[in-house]
Amino acid sequence: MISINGLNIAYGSHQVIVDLNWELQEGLIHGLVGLNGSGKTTLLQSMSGILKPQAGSLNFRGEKFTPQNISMLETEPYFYKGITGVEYLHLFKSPGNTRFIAQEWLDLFSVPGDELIDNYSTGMRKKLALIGICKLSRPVILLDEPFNGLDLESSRILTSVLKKLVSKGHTIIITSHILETLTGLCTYIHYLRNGVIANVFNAEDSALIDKTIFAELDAGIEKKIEGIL
Amino acid sequence: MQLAFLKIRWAQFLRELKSLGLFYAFLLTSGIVAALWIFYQVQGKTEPRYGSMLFIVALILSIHLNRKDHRFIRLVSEQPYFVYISEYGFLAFVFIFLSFLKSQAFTMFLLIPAIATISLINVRVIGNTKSGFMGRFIPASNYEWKSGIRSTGWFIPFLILCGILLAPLPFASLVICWIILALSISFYEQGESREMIQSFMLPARKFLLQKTGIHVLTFLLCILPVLIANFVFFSDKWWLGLSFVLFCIINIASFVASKYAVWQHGQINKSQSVLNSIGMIGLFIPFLLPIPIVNLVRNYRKATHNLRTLLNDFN
Repeated sequence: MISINGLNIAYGSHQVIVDLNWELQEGLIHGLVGLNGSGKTTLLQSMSGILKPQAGSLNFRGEKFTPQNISMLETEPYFYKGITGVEYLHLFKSPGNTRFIAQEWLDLFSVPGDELIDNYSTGMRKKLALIGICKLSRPVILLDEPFNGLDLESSRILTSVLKKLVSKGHTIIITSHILETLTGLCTYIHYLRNGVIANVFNAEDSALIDKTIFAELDAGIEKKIEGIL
Repeated sequence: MQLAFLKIRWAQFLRELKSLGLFYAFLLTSGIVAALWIFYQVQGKTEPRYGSMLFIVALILSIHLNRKDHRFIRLVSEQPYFVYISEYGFLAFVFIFLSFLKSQAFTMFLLIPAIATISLINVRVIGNTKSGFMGRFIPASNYEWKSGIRSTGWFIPFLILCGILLAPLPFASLVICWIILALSISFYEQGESREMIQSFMLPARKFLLQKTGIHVLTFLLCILPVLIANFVFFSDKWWLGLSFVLFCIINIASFVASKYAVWQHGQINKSQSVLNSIGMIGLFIPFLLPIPIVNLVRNYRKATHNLRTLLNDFN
Protein backbone atom coordinates (compact mmCIF):
# COMPACT_ATOMS: atom_id res chain seq x y z
CA MET A 1 0.00 0.00 0.00
CA ILE A 2 1.17 3.51 -0.83
CA SER A 3 -0.08 6.02 1.69
CA ILE A 4 0.32 9.77 1.78
CA ASN A 5 -0.81 11.63 4.87
CA GLY A 6 -1.21 15.35 5.47
CA LEU A 7 0.96 16.37 2.52
CA ASN A 8 1.49 20.10 2.07
CA ILE A 9 3.61 21.65 -0.66
CA ALA A 10 3.90 25.33 -1.47
CA TYR A 11 5.97 27.45 -3.84
CA GLY A 12 6.48 30.57 -1.77
CA SER A 13 3.02 31.73 -0.75
CA HIS A 14 1.29 29.62 -3.42
CA GLN A 15 -0.04 26.42 -1.84
CA VAL A 16 -0.08 23.67 -4.49
CA ILE A 17 -0.85 20.55 -2.45
CA VAL A 18 -3.14 21.13 0.51
CA ASP A 19 -3.24 18.61 3.34
CA LEU A 20 -3.48 15.72 0.91
CA ASN A 21 -4.36 12.23 2.12
CA TRP A 22 -4.12 9.52 -0.50
CA GLU A 23 -4.00 5.74 -0.41
CA LEU A 24 -3.15 3.61 -3.41
CA GLN A 25 -3.45 -0.09 -3.83
CA GLU A 26 -0.30 -1.91 -4.95
CA GLY A 27 0.01 -3.87 -8.21
CA LEU A 28 -2.28 -1.61 -10.26
CA ILE A 29 -1.99 1.22 -12.76
CA HIS A 30 -3.34 4.43 -11.26
CA GLY A 31 -4.14 7.41 -13.43
CA LEU A 32 -3.72 10.90 -12.05
CA VAL A 33 -5.60 13.64 -13.83
CA GLY A 34 -6.17 17.28 -13.18
CA LEU A 35 -6.39 20.55 -15.03
CA ASN A 36 -3.33 22.58 -15.84
CA GLY A 37 -1.62 23.75 -12.63
CA SER A 38 -3.51 21.37 -10.39
CA GLY A 39 -0.26 20.00 -8.93
CA LYS A 40 0.12 16.60 -10.66
CA THR A 41 3.82 17.01 -11.39
CA THR A 42 4.44 18.53 -7.95
CA LEU A 43 2.78 15.54 -6.32
CA LEU A 44 4.84 13.05 -8.33
CA GLN A 45 8.04 14.99 -7.66
CA SER A 46 7.41 14.94 -3.92
CA MET A 47 6.78 11.19 -4.07
CA SER A 48 10.06 10.59 -5.91
CA GLY A 49 12.00 12.78 -3.48
CA ILE A 50 12.79 15.58 -5.93
CA LEU A 51 10.67 18.03 -3.94
CA LYS A 52 10.67 18.25 -0.18
CA PRO A 53 7.18 18.77 1.23
CA GLN A 54 6.58 21.35 3.96
CA ALA A 55 4.60 18.79 5.92
CA GLY A 56 3.27 15.26 5.63
CA SER A 57 4.50 11.72 5.23
CA LEU A 58 4.91 9.51 2.17
CA ASN A 59 5.03 5.79 2.91
CA PHE A 60 5.39 2.60 0.95
CA ARG A 61 4.55 -0.65 2.73
CA GLY A 62 4.52 1.25 6.01
CA GLU A 63 7.99 2.75 5.58
CA LYS A 64 9.27 6.05 4.23
CA PHE A 65 9.81 6.20 0.46
CA THR A 66 13.45 5.75 -0.55
CA PRO A 67 15.10 6.01 -3.97
CA GLN A 68 15.44 2.22 -3.95
CA ASN A 69 11.71 1.65 -4.23
CA ILE A 70 10.61 4.40 -6.59
CA SER A 71 11.59 5.72 -10.01
CA MET A 72 10.13 8.55 -12.03
CA LEU A 73 9.95 9.50 -15.69
CA GLU A 74 9.82 13.26 -15.96
CA THR A 75 7.85 15.09 -18.64
CA GLU A 76 11.06 16.21 -20.31
CA PRO A 77 13.83 13.86 -19.22
CA TYR A 78 17.30 15.37 -19.13
CA PHE A 79 20.25 13.60 -20.68
CA TYR A 80 23.97 14.21 -20.52
CA LYS A 81 25.40 15.56 -23.77
CA GLY A 82 27.93 13.52 -25.70
CA ILE A 83 27.06 10.02 -24.53
CA THR A 84 25.25 7.28 -26.44
CA GLY A 85 21.99 5.58 -25.56
CA VAL A 86 23.77 2.33 -24.65
CA GLU A 87 26.22 4.19 -22.40
CA TYR A 88 23.32 5.93 -20.65
CA LEU A 89 21.64 2.58 -19.98
CA HIS A 90 24.92 1.12 -18.67
CA LEU A 91 24.74 3.60 -15.79
CA PHE A 92 21.63 2.02 -14.35
CA LYS A 93 21.88 -1.16 -12.36
CA SER A 94 19.15 -3.73 -12.78
CA PRO A 95 18.28 -5.82 -9.72
CA GLY A 96 20.15 -9.11 -9.58
CA ASN A 97 17.10 -11.30 -10.14
CA THR A 98 15.84 -9.52 -13.27
CA ARG A 99 16.85 -10.21 -16.83
CA PHE A 100 17.67 -7.06 -18.76
CA ILE A 101 19.33 -7.01 -22.16
CA ALA A 102 19.62 -3.40 -23.31
CA GLN A 103 19.73 -4.22 -27.01
CA GLU A 104 16.40 -6.09 -26.86
CA TRP A 105 14.70 -3.06 -25.33
CA LEU A 106 16.36 -0.67 -27.76
CA ASP A 107 15.19 -2.83 -30.67
CA LEU A 108 11.67 -3.04 -29.22
CA PHE A 109 11.34 0.75 -29.12
CA SER A 110 13.46 1.31 -32.29
CA VAL A 111 16.03 3.43 -30.46
CA PRO A 112 19.51 3.60 -32.07
CA GLY A 113 21.64 2.78 -29.03
CA ASP A 114 25.02 3.56 -30.61
CA GLU A 115 24.03 7.08 -31.63
CA LEU A 116 24.80 10.05 -29.42
CA ILE A 117 21.72 11.10 -27.41
CA ASP A 118 22.24 14.67 -28.69
CA ASN A 119 20.93 13.50 -32.06
CA TYR A 120 17.79 11.82 -30.69
CA SER A 121 14.32 13.18 -31.34
CA THR A 122 12.03 14.06 -28.40
CA GLY A 123 10.25 10.72 -28.74
CA MET A 124 13.50 8.75 -28.81
CA ARG A 125 14.72 10.51 -25.66
CA LYS A 126 11.50 9.68 -23.88
CA LYS A 127 11.75 6.05 -24.94
CA LEU A 128 15.35 5.86 -23.74
CA ALA A 129 14.38 7.30 -20.36
CA LEU A 130 11.57 4.75 -20.17
CA ILE A 131 13.97 1.89 -20.91
CA GLY A 132 16.22 3.21 -18.11
CA ILE A 133 13.27 3.09 -15.71
CA CYS A 134 12.37 -0.41 -16.83
CA LYS A 135 15.98 -1.47 -16.19
CA LEU A 136 15.83 -0.14 -12.62
CA SER A 137 12.71 -2.27 -12.10
CA ARG A 138 11.67 -0.48 -8.91
CA PRO A 139 8.39 -1.50 -7.23
CA VAL A 140 6.75 1.92 -7.75
CA ILE A 141 7.01 3.66 -11.12
CA LEU A 142 5.84 7.24 -11.63
CA LEU A 143 5.28 8.36 -15.20
CA ASP A 144 4.63 12.04 -15.87
CA GLU A 145 3.06 12.41 -19.31
CA PRO A 146 4.81 9.35 -20.79
CA PHE A 147 2.83 9.47 -24.04
CA ASN A 148 3.91 13.02 -24.94
CA GLY A 149 6.06 12.95 -28.06
CA LEU A 150 5.66 9.22 -28.62
CA ASP A 151 4.69 7.93 -32.04
CA LEU A 152 1.65 5.72 -32.49
CA GLU A 153 3.60 2.46 -32.54
CA SER A 154 5.68 3.31 -29.46
CA SER A 155 2.53 4.34 -27.55
CA ARG A 156 1.07 0.87 -28.23
CA ILE A 157 4.30 -0.80 -27.15
CA LEU A 158 4.45 1.32 -23.99
CA THR A 159 0.87 0.38 -23.10
CA SER A 160 1.75 -3.31 -23.42
CA VAL A 161 4.97 -2.88 -21.42
CA LEU A 162 3.09 -1.13 -18.59
CA LYS A 163 0.49 -3.90 -18.45
CA LYS A 164 3.26 -6.48 -18.29
CA LEU A 165 5.06 -4.59 -15.51
CA VAL A 166 1.87 -4.49 -13.46
CA SER A 167 1.36 -8.20 -13.94
CA LYS A 168 4.83 -8.63 -12.42
CA GLY A 169 3.79 -6.75 -9.29
CA HIS A 170 4.87 -3.18 -10.02
CA THR A 171 2.66 -0.25 -9.08
CA ILE A 172 2.40 2.47 -11.70
CA ILE A 173 1.11 6.02 -11.29
CA ILE A 174 0.65 7.79 -14.56
CA THR A 175 -0.44 11.30 -15.53
CA SER A 176 -1.71 12.38 -18.90
CA HIS A 177 -3.45 15.35 -20.47
CA ILE A 178 -5.29 12.98 -22.75
CA LEU A 179 -7.95 11.22 -20.71
CA GLU A 180 -8.54 8.53 -23.33
CA THR A 181 -5.01 7.19 -22.94
CA LEU A 182 -5.70 6.55 -19.26
CA THR A 183 -9.19 5.08 -19.42
CA GLY A 184 -8.00 2.11 -21.48
CA LEU A 185 -4.98 1.50 -19.29
CA CYS A 186 -5.67 2.30 -15.64
CA THR A 187 -7.72 0.57 -13.00
CA TYR A 188 -8.50 3.77 -11.12
CA ILE A 189 -8.33 7.38 -12.13
CA HIS A 190 -7.71 9.94 -9.40
CA TYR A 191 -8.80 13.50 -9.99
CA LEU A 192 -6.57 16.13 -8.41
CA ARG A 193 -8.31 19.45 -7.88
CA ASN A 194 -7.09 22.46 -5.91
CA GLY A 195 -4.34 20.43 -4.28
CA VAL A 196 -6.46 17.53 -3.05
CA ILE A 197 -7.77 14.29 -4.52
CA ALA A 198 -11.34 15.36 -5.26
CA ASN A 199 -12.61 12.10 -6.81
CA VAL A 200 -11.51 8.54 -7.47
CA PHE A 201 -13.11 6.88 -10.48
CA ASN A 202 -13.23 3.41 -11.81
CA ALA A 203 -11.51 3.81 -15.19
CA GLU A 204 -14.46 2.20 -16.97
CA ASP A 205 -16.72 5.13 -16.01
CA SER A 206 -15.25 7.35 -18.70
CA ALA A 207 -18.51 9.26 -19.21
CA LEU A 208 -18.71 10.14 -15.53
CA ILE A 209 -15.03 11.14 -15.45
CA ASP A 210 -15.52 13.32 -18.48
CA LYS A 211 -18.57 14.97 -17.00
CA THR A 212 -17.00 15.61 -13.61
CA ILE A 213 -13.72 16.98 -14.84
CA PHE A 214 -14.75 18.91 -17.87
CA ALA A 215 -18.28 20.17 -17.09
CA GLU A 216 -17.06 23.24 -15.23
CA LEU A 217 -14.22 23.84 -17.67
CA ASP A 218 -16.45 23.55 -20.74
CA ALA A 219 -18.89 26.08 -19.33
CA GLY A 220 -16.08 28.57 -18.80
CA ILE A 221 -14.67 27.99 -22.28
CA GLU A 222 -18.12 28.45 -23.88
CA LYS A 223 -18.48 31.78 -22.11
CA LYS A 224 -15.05 32.98 -23.25
CA ILE A 225 -15.68 31.94 -26.87
CA GLU A 226 -19.03 33.72 -26.77
CA GLY A 227 -17.21 36.89 -25.85
CA ILE A 228 -14.57 36.51 -28.58
CA LEU A 229 -16.62 35.28 -31.56
CA MET B 1 25.69 33.95 -50.05
CA GLN B 2 29.35 33.45 -49.04
CA LEU B 3 29.54 37.02 -47.77
CA ALA B 4 26.33 36.53 -45.77
CA PHE B 5 27.85 33.46 -44.10
CA LEU B 6 31.05 35.33 -43.28
CA LYS B 7 28.99 38.11 -41.71
CA ILE B 8 27.10 35.53 -39.61
CA ARG B 9 30.40 33.98 -38.47
CA TRP B 10 31.78 37.37 -37.47
CA ALA B 11 28.60 38.19 -35.52
CA GLN B 12 28.79 34.75 -33.82
CA PHE B 13 32.43 35.35 -32.89
CA LEU B 14 31.62 38.74 -31.34
CA ARG B 15 28.62 37.27 -29.48
CA GLU B 16 30.78 34.46 -28.06
CA LEU B 17 33.44 36.95 -27.06
CA LYS B 18 30.86 39.04 -25.21
CA SER B 19 29.42 35.99 -23.43
CA LEU B 20 32.88 34.99 -22.19
CA GLY B 21 33.21 38.00 -19.94
CA LEU B 22 36.14 40.40 -19.75
CA PHE B 23 38.66 38.01 -18.17
CA TYR B 24 38.18 35.15 -20.62
CA ALA B 25 37.82 37.50 -23.60
CA PHE B 26 41.15 39.04 -22.68
CA LEU B 27 42.68 35.57 -22.20
CA LEU B 28 41.38 34.39 -25.58
CA THR B 29 42.52 37.52 -27.42
CA SER B 30 45.95 37.26 -25.80
CA GLY B 31 46.09 33.58 -26.78
CA ILE B 32 45.26 34.36 -30.41
CA VAL B 33 47.82 37.19 -30.59
CA ALA B 34 50.46 34.98 -28.94
CA ALA B 35 49.74 32.12 -31.36
CA LEU B 36 50.05 34.44 -34.36
CA TRP B 37 53.28 35.90 -32.99
CA ILE B 38 54.74 32.40 -32.48
CA PHE B 39 53.64 31.49 -36.00
CA TYR B 40 55.34 34.62 -37.36
CA GLN B 41 58.55 33.82 -35.50
CA VAL B 42 58.58 30.19 -36.60
CA GLN B 43 58.41 31.20 -40.27
CA GLY B 44 62.06 31.28 -41.43
CA LYS B 45 63.27 33.82 -43.96
CA THR B 46 65.07 31.42 -46.28
CA GLU B 47 64.14 27.74 -46.12
CA PRO B 48 60.49 26.72 -46.57
CA ARG B 49 58.55 25.85 -43.41
CA TYR B 50 56.20 23.01 -44.28
CA GLY B 51 55.50 22.19 -40.65
CA SER B 52 53.45 25.32 -39.96
CA MET B 53 51.55 24.87 -43.23
CA LEU B 54 50.70 21.28 -42.26
CA PHE B 55 49.58 22.48 -38.83
CA ILE B 56 47.10 24.90 -40.41
CA VAL B 57 45.84 22.20 -42.78
CA ALA B 58 45.32 19.87 -39.79
CA LEU B 59 43.50 22.65 -37.94
CA ILE B 60 41.14 23.34 -40.86
CA LEU B 61 40.57 19.63 -41.43
CA SER B 62 39.68 19.21 -37.76
CA ILE B 63 37.21 22.10 -37.96
CA HIS B 64 35.63 20.66 -41.11
CA LEU B 65 35.20 17.18 -39.65
CA ASN B 66 33.90 18.34 -36.29
CA ARG B 67 31.54 21.15 -37.24
CA LYS B 68 27.86 20.43 -36.67
CA ASP B 69 26.29 22.68 -39.29
CA HIS B 70 26.95 20.68 -42.47
CA ARG B 71 23.27 19.83 -42.86
CA PHE B 72 22.26 23.47 -42.35
CA ILE B 73 24.77 24.74 -44.92
CA ARG B 74 23.55 22.16 -47.45
CA LEU B 75 19.99 23.25 -46.77
CA VAL B 76 20.46 26.97 -47.29
CA SER B 77 23.19 27.00 -49.92
CA GLU B 78 23.05 25.44 -53.36
CA GLN B 79 26.85 25.42 -53.43
CA PRO B 80 28.02 24.51 -49.92
CA TYR B 81 31.48 23.92 -51.34
CA PHE B 82 31.97 27.68 -51.87
CA VAL B 83 30.73 28.48 -48.37
CA TYR B 84 33.38 26.17 -46.89
CA ILE B 85 36.13 27.59 -49.14
CA SER B 86 35.27 31.18 -48.24
CA GLU B 87 35.19 30.43 -44.49
CA TYR B 88 38.43 28.45 -44.41
CA GLY B 89 40.07 30.92 -46.79
CA PHE B 90 39.12 33.77 -44.46
CA LEU B 91 40.54 31.82 -41.53
CA ALA B 92 43.80 31.05 -43.37
CA PHE B 93 44.16 34.55 -44.80
CA VAL B 94 45.95 35.94 -41.76
CA PHE B 95 48.48 33.08 -41.87
CA ILE B 96 49.06 33.58 -45.59
CA PHE B 97 49.58 37.30 -44.97
CA LEU B 98 52.09 36.68 -42.17
CA SER B 99 53.95 34.20 -44.36
CA PHE B 100 54.23 36.80 -47.11
CA LEU B 101 56.03 39.08 -44.67
CA LYS B 102 58.60 36.33 -44.07
CA SER B 103 58.94 35.37 -47.75
CA GLN B 104 57.16 32.07 -47.25
CA ALA B 105 54.61 32.71 -49.99
CA PHE B 106 55.34 29.43 -51.79
CA THR B 107 54.55 27.11 -48.87
CA MET B 108 51.51 29.11 -47.93
CA PHE B 109 50.13 29.05 -51.46
CA LEU B 110 49.97 25.29 -51.01
CA LEU B 111 47.22 26.03 -48.50
CA ILE B 112 44.81 27.04 -51.24
CA PRO B 113 44.56 23.61 -52.96
CA ALA B 114 44.55 21.99 -49.48
CA ILE B 115 41.56 24.11 -48.41
CA ALA B 116 39.78 23.35 -51.68
CA THR B 117 40.29 19.61 -51.12
CA ILE B 118 39.12 19.72 -47.50
CA SER B 119 35.98 21.61 -48.56
CA LEU B 120 35.13 18.75 -50.92
CA ILE B 121 35.02 16.17 -48.10
CA ASN B 122 31.46 15.06 -47.58
CA VAL B 123 31.20 14.72 -43.81
CA ARG B 124 27.86 12.94 -44.00
CA VAL B 125 29.75 9.91 -45.32
CA ILE B 126 32.26 10.03 -42.48
CA GLY B 127 29.55 10.74 -39.92
CA ASN B 128 30.22 12.51 -36.65
CA THR B 129 27.21 11.22 -34.80
CA LYS B 130 28.53 7.81 -33.74
CA SER B 131 30.46 7.32 -30.54
CA GLY B 132 34.12 8.29 -30.91
CA PHE B 133 37.13 6.01 -30.84
CA MET B 134 38.63 7.11 -27.52
CA GLY B 135 35.21 7.33 -25.85
CA ARG B 136 34.81 3.55 -26.15
CA PHE B 137 37.67 2.92 -23.74
CA ILE B 138 36.31 5.11 -20.96
CA PRO B 139 33.92 3.49 -18.45
CA ALA B 140 30.24 4.51 -18.67
CA SER B 141 30.40 5.93 -15.15
CA ASN B 142 32.91 8.55 -16.35
CA TYR B 143 30.45 10.25 -18.67
CA GLU B 144 32.18 13.61 -18.13
CA TRP B 145 35.32 12.43 -19.92
CA LYS B 146 33.42 10.37 -22.49
CA SER B 147 31.40 13.39 -23.47
CA GLY B 148 34.32 15.82 -23.14
CA ILE B 149 36.71 13.83 -25.30
CA ARG B 150 34.03 13.53 -27.96
CA SER B 151 33.33 17.25 -27.89
CA THR B 152 37.02 18.09 -28.35
CA GLY B 153 37.17 15.72 -31.32
CA TRP B 154 40.65 14.88 -32.52
CA PHE B 155 42.32 17.40 -30.29
CA ILE B 156 43.22 15.21 -27.31
CA PRO B 157 44.59 12.28 -29.39
CA PHE B 158 46.51 14.90 -31.40
CA LEU B 159 47.95 16.39 -28.19
CA ILE B 160 48.95 12.93 -26.92
CA LEU B 161 50.78 12.34 -30.20
CA CYS B 162 52.50 15.74 -29.92
CA GLY B 163 53.44 14.91 -26.31
CA ILE B 164 55.17 11.70 -27.43
CA LEU B 165 56.90 13.31 -30.42
CA LEU B 166 58.12 16.31 -28.42
CA ALA B 167 59.35 14.18 -25.50
CA PRO B 168 63.06 14.87 -26.25
CA LEU B 169 62.49 18.58 -25.55
CA PRO B 170 62.73 19.45 -21.85
CA PHE B 171 59.32 19.97 -20.17
CA ALA B 172 57.46 19.78 -23.51
CA SER B 173 55.62 16.52 -22.66
CA LEU B 174 54.60 17.75 -19.24
CA VAL B 175 53.32 21.03 -20.68
CA ILE B 176 51.21 19.04 -23.13
CA CYS B 177 49.81 16.93 -20.28
CA TRP B 178 49.03 20.19 -18.51
CA ILE B 179 47.14 21.42 -21.61
CA ILE B 180 45.09 18.18 -21.64
CA LEU B 181 44.25 18.68 -17.95
CA ALA B 182 43.37 22.34 -18.59
CA LEU B 183 41.06 21.24 -21.43
CA SER B 184 39.29 18.88 -19.05
CA ILE B 185 38.09 21.80 -16.87
CA SER B 186 35.22 22.32 -19.32
CA PHE B 187 34.20 18.63 -18.92
CA TYR B 188 32.96 19.49 -15.43
CA GLU B 189 30.59 22.28 -16.39
CA GLN B 190 27.62 20.14 -17.36
CA GLY B 191 25.42 18.92 -14.53
CA GLU B 192 23.93 15.47 -15.01
CA SER B 193 20.43 14.36 -14.10
CA ARG B 194 19.41 13.21 -10.61
CA GLU B 195 18.85 9.71 -11.95
CA MET B 196 22.43 9.51 -13.19
CA ILE B 197 23.82 10.45 -9.77
CA GLN B 198 21.45 8.10 -7.97
CA SER B 199 22.44 5.27 -10.32
CA PHE B 200 25.73 5.01 -8.36
CA MET B 201 23.68 4.06 -5.26
CA LEU B 202 26.37 5.41 -2.93
CA PRO B 203 26.30 7.88 -0.05
CA ALA B 204 27.63 11.37 -0.84
CA ARG B 205 31.18 10.93 0.45
CA LYS B 206 31.71 7.54 -1.17
CA PHE B 207 30.22 8.87 -4.38
CA LEU B 208 32.73 11.74 -4.48
CA LEU B 209 35.61 9.42 -3.64
CA GLN B 210 34.66 6.90 -6.31
CA LYS B 211 34.10 9.62 -8.89
CA THR B 212 37.50 11.18 -8.16
CA GLY B 213 39.18 7.77 -8.36
CA ILE B 214 37.67 6.98 -11.77
CA HIS B 215 38.55 10.42 -13.13
CA VAL B 216 42.15 10.32 -11.88
CA LEU B 217 42.60 6.84 -13.36
CA THR B 218 41.12 7.88 -16.71
CA PHE B 219 43.37 10.94 -16.91
CA LEU B 220 46.50 9.04 -15.94
CA LEU B 221 45.78 6.28 -18.47
CA CYS B 222 45.17 8.96 -21.08
CA ILE B 223 48.56 10.65 -20.52
CA LEU B 224 50.48 7.45 -19.70
CA PRO B 225 52.18 7.19 -23.13
CA VAL B 226 53.33 10.82 -22.81
CA LEU B 227 54.61 10.26 -19.26
CA ILE B 228 56.51 7.13 -20.36
CA ALA B 229 58.06 9.03 -23.29
CA ASN B 230 59.07 11.82 -20.90
CA PHE B 231 60.59 9.29 -18.48
CA VAL B 232 62.62 7.66 -21.28
CA PHE B 233 64.35 10.96 -22.09
CA PHE B 234 64.48 12.48 -18.62
CA SER B 235 64.71 9.50 -16.25
CA ASP B 236 67.12 11.46 -14.03
CA LYS B 237 64.29 13.94 -13.35
CA TRP B 238 61.73 11.29 -12.39
CA TRP B 239 60.67 13.33 -9.36
CA LEU B 240 59.44 16.07 -11.70
CA GLY B 241 57.00 13.67 -13.38
CA LEU B 242 55.88 12.37 -10.01
CA SER B 243 55.27 15.89 -8.66
CA PHE B 244 53.32 16.67 -11.82
CA VAL B 245 51.11 13.59 -11.33
CA LEU B 246 50.44 14.69 -7.74
CA PHE B 247 49.54 18.18 -8.99
CA CYS B 248 47.12 16.59 -11.50
CA ILE B 249 45.47 14.37 -8.86
CA ILE B 250 44.83 17.34 -6.56
CA ASN B 251 43.42 19.36 -9.44
CA ILE B 252 41.12 16.57 -10.64
CA ALA B 253 39.83 16.05 -7.09
CA SER B 254 39.23 19.80 -6.96
CA PHE B 255 37.37 19.74 -10.33
CA VAL B 256 35.07 16.93 -9.11
CA ALA B 257 34.37 18.62 -5.77
CA SER B 258 33.71 22.00 -7.41
CA LYS B 259 31.30 20.42 -9.89
CA TYR B 260 29.14 18.88 -7.19
CA ALA B 261 29.41 21.93 -4.91
CA VAL B 262 27.23 23.81 -7.40
CA TRP B 263 25.49 20.87 -9.09
CA GLN B 264 21.88 21.32 -10.17
CA HIS B 265 19.81 18.85 -12.18
CA GLY B 266 20.67 19.30 -15.85
CA GLN B 267 22.21 22.76 -15.43
CA ILE B 268 25.43 24.03 -16.97
CA ASN B 269 27.56 25.90 -14.45
CA LYS B 270 30.70 27.68 -15.59
CA SER B 271 31.34 29.64 -12.40
CA GLN B 272 33.81 27.10 -11.01
CA SER B 273 35.88 26.94 -14.19
CA VAL B 274 37.50 30.32 -13.52
CA LEU B 275 38.84 29.24 -10.09
CA ASN B 276 39.90 25.88 -11.48
CA SER B 277 41.77 27.64 -14.31
CA ILE B 278 43.57 29.90 -11.84
CA GLY B 279 44.51 26.82 -9.81
CA MET B 280 45.94 25.22 -12.94
CA ILE B 281 48.16 28.25 -13.61
CA GLY B 282 49.77 27.41 -10.25
CA LEU B 283 52.12 25.06 -12.10
CA PHE B 284 53.84 28.11 -13.61
CA ILE B 285 53.18 30.72 -10.90
CA PRO B 286 54.07 28.97 -7.61
CA PHE B 287 52.17 31.32 -5.27
CA LEU B 288 48.94 30.11 -6.92
CA LEU B 289 49.76 26.48 -6.09
CA PRO B 290 47.66 26.30 -2.86
CA ILE B 291 44.49 27.37 -4.73
CA PRO B 292 43.47 23.83 -5.85
CA ILE B 293 43.94 22.55 -2.27
CA VAL B 294 41.88 25.40 -0.78
CA ASN B 295 39.28 24.84 -3.51
CA LEU B 296 39.19 21.13 -2.79
CA VAL B 297 38.66 21.53 0.95
CA ARG B 298 36.05 24.27 0.56
CA ASN B 299 34.11 22.57 -2.24
CA TYR B 300 34.26 19.08 -0.76
CA ARG B 301 32.13 20.21 2.19
CA LYS B 302 29.73 22.05 -0.09
CA ALA B 303 29.52 19.07 -2.45
CA THR B 304 28.70 16.54 0.29
CA HIS B 305 26.04 18.92 1.58
CA ASN B 306 24.59 19.45 -1.91
CA LEU B 307 24.47 15.71 -2.65
CA ARG B 308 23.14 14.67 0.73
CA THR B 309 19.48 15.30 -0.14
CA LEU B 310 19.84 13.03 -3.17
CA LEU B 311 22.05 10.30 -1.77
CA ASN B 312 21.24 10.23 1.93
CA ASP B 313 19.07 7.15 1.58
CA PHE B 314 22.07 5.13 0.39
CA ASN B 315 23.82 5.54 3.74
